[in-house]
Amino acid sequence: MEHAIKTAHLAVGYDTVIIVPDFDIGFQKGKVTSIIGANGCGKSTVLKAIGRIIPSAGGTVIINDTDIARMKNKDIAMQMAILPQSPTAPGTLTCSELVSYGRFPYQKGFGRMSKEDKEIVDWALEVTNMGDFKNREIAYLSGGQRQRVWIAMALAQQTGIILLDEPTTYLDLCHQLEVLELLKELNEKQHTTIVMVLHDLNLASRYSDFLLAMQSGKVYAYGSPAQVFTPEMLKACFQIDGEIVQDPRSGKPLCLSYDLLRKA
Amino acid sequence: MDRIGRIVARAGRFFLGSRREQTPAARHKARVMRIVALAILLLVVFLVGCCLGPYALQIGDVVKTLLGQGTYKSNMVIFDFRLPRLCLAILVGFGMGASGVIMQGLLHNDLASPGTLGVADGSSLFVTLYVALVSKQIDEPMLLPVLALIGGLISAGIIYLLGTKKGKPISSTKLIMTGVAMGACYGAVATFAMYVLDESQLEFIQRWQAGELWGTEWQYIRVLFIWLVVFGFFAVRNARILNAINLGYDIATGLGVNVKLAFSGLAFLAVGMSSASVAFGGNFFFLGLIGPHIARRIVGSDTRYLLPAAGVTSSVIIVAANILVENVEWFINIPTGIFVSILAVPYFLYLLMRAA
Repeated sequence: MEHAIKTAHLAVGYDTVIIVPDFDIGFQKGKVTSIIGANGCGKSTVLKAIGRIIPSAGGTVIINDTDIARMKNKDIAMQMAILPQSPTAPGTLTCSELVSYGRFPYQKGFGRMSKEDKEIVDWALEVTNMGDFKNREIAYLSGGQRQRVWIAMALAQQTGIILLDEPTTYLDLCHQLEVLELLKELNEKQHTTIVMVLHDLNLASRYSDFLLAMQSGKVYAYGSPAQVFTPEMLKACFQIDGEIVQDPRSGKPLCLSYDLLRKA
Repeated sequence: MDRIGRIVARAGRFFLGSRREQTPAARHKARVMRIVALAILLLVVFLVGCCLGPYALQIGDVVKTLLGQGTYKSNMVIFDFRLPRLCLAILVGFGMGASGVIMQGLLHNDLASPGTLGVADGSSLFVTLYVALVSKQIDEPMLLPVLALIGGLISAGIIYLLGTKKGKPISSTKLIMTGVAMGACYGAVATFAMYVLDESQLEFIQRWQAGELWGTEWQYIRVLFIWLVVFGFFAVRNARILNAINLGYDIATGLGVNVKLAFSGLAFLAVGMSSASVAFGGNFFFLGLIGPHIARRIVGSDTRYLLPAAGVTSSVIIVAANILVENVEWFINIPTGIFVSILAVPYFLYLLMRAA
């Protein structure tokens, strides 16, 4: 299997506290992978380090067979897009203006949009179902629409890889599904490699090809949802006693009911 | 009365009105039109400034004189007295306005400006120390912006060193807090340094710190003009990067911006422009706050439009304040900088009340 992203001995932390000591993983090309784990387990930290939003304290990150330490920021941005958790933009931007920032790594000088740039922006807005809102200011959008515009911006970057940090936070059930359906569709149609951090385990299981469960800075389990989403993982990573069944619609594992583990 | 009300309402809609939906071309046109309108406003206050003063001139005479057909007397009034001061005011406005846009954009905070970040205090401290310790007076026009720039850069550098950590992303709150603290420190040292000044030095420094628009010799204006053109050129060229940083440091990184490098470079430009303006004009830091603020409401947050708009807006404010200071009996002898600050306070209280 080909890897879109590979890390070797990646270490990340703030100040002197190392949160993730030694992270070795390969994310498969053209697949959806969700990183799950309890608060503070280092899942966002790892994602940010791969996206070089926070500097790593050691180790390497390789995307499409090149070490990112040896790549220019612009060149990385043409291969990998990153959507941080709940981004904010000046509300006076219109959707198409925001999405046009996705063309940033391809532009020079004053940033005039070429014909190709404009076509890609329109395409990204269409794909995310935001075409009707392209001239609307962001302040007048709903939370779900706003998240779709941000995803459209990442799409306009035309990268084979998209990293997302909790893309469904603050969204209601319907909008959560909308965002994940959109990501799934992109993965299927454009073969985009998607790596995201998700809080909701059932949604992660339903929409991902692979799950990566983390526990205090280390990889606990990595594999298909059926392999990873088990009562043992819930115990180890979340201190939860959970009942796992098969989702009658998707066939994926689903956590039906759960309780706090009684401290013995 | 009704007519005036209608005109004011129309002007308000023209400058501040916005539509929920607008095509990119229409938005571009509206913004350019607004910048042109601001420039016309600047021209109007400039001409009014040329007319008014101890020897009042008719607008026709002013235009004639500016076109090179003035009398001996009107030539003297315009070219020796009014024009230098007006030109200086306009340049200081541009410098502080553009500098404020960059700092507010870099730090994602509307209260960031050369003044609030302690950069202007650093420039001011350096000039004060130079006058106090090295030279009795400043006779080399090039020296002042260089001194102010060194002072500004050193203080910005200290803020950056204290406010950031290696191996950590930039935190704007931390930088602002450090700037405020360091600004207070520089202010204290500058006040202390004033004890060793003699009377004429003290007078110069005091008026300079209050924002006196003192450097009205053409040689100073020429230096400031060239300085601002050079720095402004690079600022406009990098407007796109500032736009990306406006979306957040994380997003900018993801789009391929080397945030720390861009931050240092843009901060250098901002400090350069504010230092030179501070050097010749005096302390006009409120201008760097209020100009960009008003301009953002007029043209939005896209730096490519905001830089020129904030420059023109700040110039309009400072020229208007200067006219009032020079011509209204009540205000005479108030340094222009102080007057701008007084004007800015109600505006900020209004903004705060709206926000709450």
